[in-house]
Amino acid sequence: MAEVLRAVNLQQEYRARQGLLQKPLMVRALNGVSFSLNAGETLAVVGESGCGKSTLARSLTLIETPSAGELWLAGKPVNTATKPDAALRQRIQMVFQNPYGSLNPRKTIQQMLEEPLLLNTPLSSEQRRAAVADMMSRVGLRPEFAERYPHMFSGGQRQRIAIARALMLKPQVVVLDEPVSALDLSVRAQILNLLTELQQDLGLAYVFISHDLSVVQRIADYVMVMYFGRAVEYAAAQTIFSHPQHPYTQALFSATPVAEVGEKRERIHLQGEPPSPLRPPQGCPFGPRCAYVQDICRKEVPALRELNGAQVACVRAETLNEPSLPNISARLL
Amino acid sequence: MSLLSVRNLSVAFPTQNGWFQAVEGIHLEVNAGDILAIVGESGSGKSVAMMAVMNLLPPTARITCDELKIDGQDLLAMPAKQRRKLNGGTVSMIFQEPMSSLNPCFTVGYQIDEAIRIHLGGSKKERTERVLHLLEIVGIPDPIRRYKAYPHQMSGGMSQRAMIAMALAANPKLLIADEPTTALDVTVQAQILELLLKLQQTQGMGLILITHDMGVVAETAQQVVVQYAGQQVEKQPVFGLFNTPHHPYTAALLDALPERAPVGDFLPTIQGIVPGQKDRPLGCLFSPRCTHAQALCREQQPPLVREAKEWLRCYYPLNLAEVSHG
Repeated sequence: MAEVLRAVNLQQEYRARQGLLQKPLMVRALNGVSFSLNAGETLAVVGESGCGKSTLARSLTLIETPSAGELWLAGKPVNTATKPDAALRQRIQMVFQNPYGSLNPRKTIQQMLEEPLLLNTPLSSEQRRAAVADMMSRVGLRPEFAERYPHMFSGGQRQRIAIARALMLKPQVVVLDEPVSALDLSVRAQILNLLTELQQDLGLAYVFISHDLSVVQRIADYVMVMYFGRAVEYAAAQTIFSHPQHPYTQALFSATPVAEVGEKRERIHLQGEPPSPLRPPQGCPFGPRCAYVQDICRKEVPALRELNGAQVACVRAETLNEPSLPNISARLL
Repeated sequence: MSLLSVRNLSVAFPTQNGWFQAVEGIHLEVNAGDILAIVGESGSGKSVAMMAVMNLLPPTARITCDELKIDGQDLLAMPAKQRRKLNGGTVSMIFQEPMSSLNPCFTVGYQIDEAIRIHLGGSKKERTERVLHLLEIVGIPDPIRRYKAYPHQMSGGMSQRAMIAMALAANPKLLIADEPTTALDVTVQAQILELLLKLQQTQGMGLILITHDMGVVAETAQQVVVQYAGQQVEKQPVFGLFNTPHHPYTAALLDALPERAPVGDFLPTIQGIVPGQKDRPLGCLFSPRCTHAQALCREQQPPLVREAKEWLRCYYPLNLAEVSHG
């Protein structure tokens, strides 16, 4: 299958002001992330708040130009030094977490869905109207609702509108930043099904950012676990869920509550919280919270390396005891 | 004698289109040492019901109740001022957003001290000692430094620990936790839930956990109440609820969970959405979305049948085969 997105050593830096007289500090929110994604596939990016997953989304969609690294979209390199051209930008679109905040309350659905076409295509108003009606029925909304405003819709319907808007320019890649976490349980499944259906019909590639492992396990082909701006583990979904190798991945999986009663399982207790980007720890960024940490971990930041079919950024991964797997991964097998 | 006893609690709010019934005929019974989870989607009235118990709703709300007792004291007969004293003393509550529940203008230590000053009294020195002790109990490292920290200097997990310390300040008998971990990351969520359970055991408190996360319910609760559109639809001990749910809503909700759904491309879904103020159906509130609904369900609202440990509001319950044949 055709590769539609490739990132090589992607970095994003921000300037953090320390105070009026102090020198501003450079904070690296994204620190060398690499992956490639084919049409029709889903890469899930998992991690806790502050790990850089939303920064990754903003860099990929060119909302912010990455400060370093290479980005290839649909086989073409994105020049990170200059402003990327509009044609390339159309290929990658984004759906945001909160459908209550991401839709303009003063625009009708028609206006919102039409806007990308108006700005980027020479279509006549009639053609645009037809395209909007077509897209609305595609995402499960009645085309008659086109003249309504966002406040007249429920959360699930709004997320359908947001998805429709992202698809108006026929992108090849859609970056979904926690698309279902603001939705109620009964609606969540409807939206996930819609995403699966659209992917099958249109051959979309998804970068699916989420902290909900049960959702990720359901829809991902590949999973990247991020911690402190880096990928700590990157593998095919089946591989990572059946055999998580990085201590952080293991802890994250075991901390996720599972809706099954009866099986009491061993839980890995993580002490403390993620480090502050203003004061990065020596060596492995997960070191201060890791149960297996040794002197060797504090020397340098471990790089991703191939291990049992996965890429793992841990120098001690081979020597770790495999914990009793949480049943979230056991269910997949 | 039960710690909290609520009979037939209803709450309505005035809107431009008349009264909106947010909570309808809620019953609750919590004993010391119980962990009761209240589960429901947004708008199911789970928070509003607890706010009514705590008397925290705005004065425009219309609250009706047949019985409301905490620790044997009749709250309905009690003057507001006296009732106010129970909050934070006998019964405490922690909220969803730790960052916005703390006052940004005062140090964490001061805010915990305030709760002790109002409910327990004592000299400044005794109170400070108790604050430091509480900070230690909830697992905040370096309590002396944190005493003087302002909320913005602490992370979400630390703020929630401080909120828990505040709620525990006057040794409450009942703790109501309203989505205590929803705003937190999973690894921190695991720490906070662990802490709540440990404290509940060591202090013998009753704990009411309001949540929408079925995973959290399965791993912490003993009893579970499921709410839908302001009504209680089912109550069961946790094992039964997850393995033999009787109400079609509970069953459909569990089926729609990605980790429980059968393998395949598509998840089972519940069609439609929760009814709002204007489109409340005549019969069972879930009937328009229910795949088991019959004519009777659409005409008449099923009553909440309360038997010893299991409550149910449904004419055609599921998973009851053994009972009906035996």
